[in-house]
Amino acid sequence: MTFFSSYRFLNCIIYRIHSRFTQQELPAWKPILTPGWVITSFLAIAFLFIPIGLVSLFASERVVEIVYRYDQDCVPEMYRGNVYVKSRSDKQLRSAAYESSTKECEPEARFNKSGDPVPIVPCGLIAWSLFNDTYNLIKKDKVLNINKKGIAWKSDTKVKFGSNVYPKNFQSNDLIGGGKLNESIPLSKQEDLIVWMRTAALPTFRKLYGKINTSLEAHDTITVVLENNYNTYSFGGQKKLVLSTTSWIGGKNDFLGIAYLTVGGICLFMALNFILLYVFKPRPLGDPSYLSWNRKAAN
Amino acid sequence: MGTGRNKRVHFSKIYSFQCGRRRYDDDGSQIGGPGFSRVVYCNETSGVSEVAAGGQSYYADNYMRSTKYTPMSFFPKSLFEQFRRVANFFFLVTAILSFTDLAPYSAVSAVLPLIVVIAASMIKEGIEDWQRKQQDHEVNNRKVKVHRGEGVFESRQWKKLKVGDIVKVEKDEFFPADLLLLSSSYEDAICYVETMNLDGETNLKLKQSLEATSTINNDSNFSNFKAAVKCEDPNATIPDVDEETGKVTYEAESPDEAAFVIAARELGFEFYKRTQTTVSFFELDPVSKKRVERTYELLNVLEFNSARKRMSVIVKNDDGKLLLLSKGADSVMFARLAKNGREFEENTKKHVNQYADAGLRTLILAYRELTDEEYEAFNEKFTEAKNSVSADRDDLIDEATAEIEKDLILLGATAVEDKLQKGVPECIDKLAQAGIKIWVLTGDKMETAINIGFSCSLLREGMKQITIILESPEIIAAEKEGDENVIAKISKESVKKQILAGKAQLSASTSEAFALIIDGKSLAYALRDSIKDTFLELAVGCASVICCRSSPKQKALVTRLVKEGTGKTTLAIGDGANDVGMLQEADIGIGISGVEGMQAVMSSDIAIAQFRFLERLLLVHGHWCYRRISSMICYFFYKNIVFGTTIFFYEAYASFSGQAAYNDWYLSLYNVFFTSLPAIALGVFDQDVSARFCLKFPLLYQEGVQNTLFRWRRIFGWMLNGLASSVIIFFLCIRALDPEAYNKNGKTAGLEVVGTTIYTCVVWVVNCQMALAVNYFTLIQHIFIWGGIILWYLFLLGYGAMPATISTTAYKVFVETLAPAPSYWFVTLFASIAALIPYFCYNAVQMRFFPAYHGMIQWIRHEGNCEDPEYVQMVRQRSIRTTTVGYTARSIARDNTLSHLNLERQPPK
Repeated sequence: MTFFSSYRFLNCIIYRIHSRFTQQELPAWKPILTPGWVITSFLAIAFLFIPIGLVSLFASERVVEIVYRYDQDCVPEMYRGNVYVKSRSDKQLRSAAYESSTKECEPEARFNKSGDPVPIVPCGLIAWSLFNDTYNLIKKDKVLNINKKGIAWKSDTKVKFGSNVYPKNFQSNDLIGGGKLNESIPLSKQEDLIVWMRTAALPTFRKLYGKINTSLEAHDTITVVLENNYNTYSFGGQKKLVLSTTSWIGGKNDFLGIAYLTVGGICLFMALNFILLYVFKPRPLGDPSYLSWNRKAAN
Repeated sequence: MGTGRNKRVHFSKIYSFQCGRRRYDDDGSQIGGPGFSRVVYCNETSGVSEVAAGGQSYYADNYMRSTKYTPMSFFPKSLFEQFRRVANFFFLVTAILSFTDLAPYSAVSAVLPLIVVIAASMIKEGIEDWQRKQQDHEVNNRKVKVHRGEGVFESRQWKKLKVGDIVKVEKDEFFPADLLLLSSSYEDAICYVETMNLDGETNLKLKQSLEATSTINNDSNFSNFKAAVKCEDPNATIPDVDEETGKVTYEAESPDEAAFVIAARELGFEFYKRTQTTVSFFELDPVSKKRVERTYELLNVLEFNSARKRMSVIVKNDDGKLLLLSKGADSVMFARLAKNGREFEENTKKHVNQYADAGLRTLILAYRELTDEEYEAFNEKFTEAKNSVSADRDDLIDEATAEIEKDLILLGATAVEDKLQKGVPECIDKLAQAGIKIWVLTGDKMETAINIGFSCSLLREGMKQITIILESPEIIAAEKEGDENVIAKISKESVKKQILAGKAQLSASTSEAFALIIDGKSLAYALRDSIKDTFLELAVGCASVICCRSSPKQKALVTRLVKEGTGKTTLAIGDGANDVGMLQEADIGIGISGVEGMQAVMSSDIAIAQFRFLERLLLVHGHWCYRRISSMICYFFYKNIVFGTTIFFYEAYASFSGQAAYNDWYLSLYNVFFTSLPAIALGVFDQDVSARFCLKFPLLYQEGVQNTLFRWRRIFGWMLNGLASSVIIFFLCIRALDPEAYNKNGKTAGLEVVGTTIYTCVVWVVNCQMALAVNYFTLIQHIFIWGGIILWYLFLLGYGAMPATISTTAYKVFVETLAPAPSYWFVTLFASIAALIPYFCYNAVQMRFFPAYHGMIQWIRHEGNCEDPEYVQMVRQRSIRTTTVGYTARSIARDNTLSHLNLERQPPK
């Protein structure tokens, strides 16, 4: 008995919901942009954005950054094209079993070893153009230790670059594009290569070279001894060395903070404007005479 | 859409021999001859009945198929249909391109969504066609009694009927085949056929069989029956023969008469028998209080015609007393009353006016006693007139009848409410308020049409009626002559003259409401190329237009004239097969399902059960749909511009290298998962104004008519908004994340970080924009809008967790690189708010200071003014104009006239 009555009760509810759904009479919230909503929204955004902007700006301000351009040439920039970005074999990088899957790597796929084309590991133009300038930082005649471990993402060192894949026939062709690799170290440990192989978003990009774990004081003089190996002159690129600290927000970037402050300010301004507008220019209540079709009829 | 546009349904007509008699008397030498190649041999039960002349060809069977596909053709044909759509074809091309090296995305990500979409539409097609098949099955397997041979009738399915079979159709049956009447159970071998679906006329048509076959009304008679029927070849001038149906039904000549019979029974006069010469009643004897049987001998029927506007009968009762009973229009009847017959004249006039105002059809009843001499004199003259063959026969009859129909004694008046469907006047009133122009295209007689016009307030007292008919003396004279060319010429001239006169009337007065009434005959000339534009101008200037006696073809032609001549959207609504042409010609065809069969419904775009549902269909669903679709399209522009422009900007930054900013699957799932559901919710559920207010403020419908929500300004506005959003998102992301380190570990943002962040912002902005644009949130909206965003994060997690071979650049991108970086979250928060501010400002100002009509109604609802009649009236003030139709307009017109009169009566101060 109870079962049947509750079953019927449930049925009744389902029927009612169903009919409300099909009749498009579901309970609905119907907000409209009343002055209250508008002013509250603007004020809320302002009070949220201005503090965030200040905090971000403060974090960015604390970051110390030194940028030094060392190639001294100024030629139009050129981006690594689609052919370039695709010229890599993720399979080959991941596992020794796929050593010879170099289809996507042309023209840097194979090395002609006495008439017998053997695969290049790592193949492709990206690896071929590996950045190979080196920097030594000296402070008061003492070489600063640059930690080159942990500059790559874990997903790369653990998964995407195999620990059983060793460089082979790399930079063996006549045309040499960049740095060479130690053939006795597996790719998963070659963090410079791994960092280089992650595609940058834009033509002007920065790559992490290493971390200095020694504290540096203000007014310290640092001497940089660099090897200018990497050829940017052929395509007219520029090279810069950046020394920077980081904060929770990353490097020295004021943009986000300024953007937050700007929009927060605009919202505050809009809130005030709307308050004034609502006070001094009350809405002409429901006069449909100026609706487009009525205007047409009146003329 | 077009559920039945290409149906091959053969509806049918019953043929009688009335006008073909002469031809059938000859010896059959024309059989097989030119123009008569089709010969049917009847009752060849052995199965050789279908041999045509020469014995080569067979007639098609009676199987009806309305499905679009067969099991064999379904796959190729529906696939073809799918790729005939431009959008599907486009995606097919991109899918093919994705297999080449040119594409920056993988083939699977392009093909899979296409397959899903195509498969879904094909399944839908399949289900629809299956339903059509079921319907066909039902019609084809309906049973009919067919002569098997030896005088035995067996029941057989309609689909198995062959040409030449003899069938027995019973009362109230539909027959989906062309039939030839052989005999009937009535004495004179007559039957009554309703041809509502054929020509729109509601009255019953009498069909009589050939004398030779009329006696064969016993089953056994058919055992030896043989006949050959030759048919004229299909003639292009009668294209509607194949799409007609008939019905045998209740035998009153018009619904009015049926109403009178029923009313009389309620008052104690029960009609129970009618022979050729007598009418019998059970009457309540006022003295004995018993039911007695009375029989009246019917001596003469003085028929109704539109000139006389009355009809009389002369009967002789049991006592031998002669009575003339007359009924007719008030305009002619009051003039024919005797001096001593005007006792109730004032009261009756008052009542009749009240009835007419309420939209009822009124008749005046009167009688007079005749002396034998009077009757003899009349009968002689009347019979002579009837038997005369001269051209002025009708005049003679009119003269004879006019002499006897005088000195009548007024009995009273009747008022019959037209059997309009429930809610029709209310519906028409609302539609008129919504600014919809209403034309009535009917097969009914002019009188009936005008009466219906009054009862649904399309016509009213004080409205100037412009009537275009072909009844001038010279036309009647020409018709008597019978020269078709002359008739056509004179008729055309006359119609043209009447149209021009109407236009002159129209331009002479700007404030008055006009009604145009035109009959089918005149319409045929008015629709000729040379005058149709003038006709249209006249018709457009009138508040209501009624075309009566119009054929199915004329209905379609009038619809086309309006559609093409005015460039406006036309909607046709009808319930009969005779409306099919019109329904298909109009931009929107609405079929009313019901007693008239399913043809109208099957050829319509939308089917409703009753006329009055049109009000809700247009004012509520029409408005909602218009808003939903236009908003949805604008929104689609918006969200794809936001998305597409970010890709474009990135390309510009990447020197157009073809490198895509986003992972393949982000690209292909954008429109499928993360942003489509809110758009669907908008397109299906959004309501700017609730149904109640849509009906309360019919003028809201004008938003659609004026196309305020889908003009170029609005579309460009949304595009601009999309551009603004994408600029804000893109430049914020690339400047905030690049080129400096983006997290605490000093790692720089690669393409996967920047791309995914931009994408996250786009998903947020586009969904929040939706939340801002709609002001109707049910649970569904919440689930879809916020669900789209949640789905994106779930997708990032799930896709990122897949092996790197599948997820490629998205491998662990959220868990490892994005989620731990505060800058990612701050960029998202900033973009999803900042990108919406331009729209928010615009909307806040617009809603408050320049609200559209729906906006005003939202304010009314919000401020709770909807119960304040004065306020509501003010908002509605402009929606009702005196030159429109409907009962609201009628009452306003009446009030105006009254106040006008009052003003005139007031003495000058």
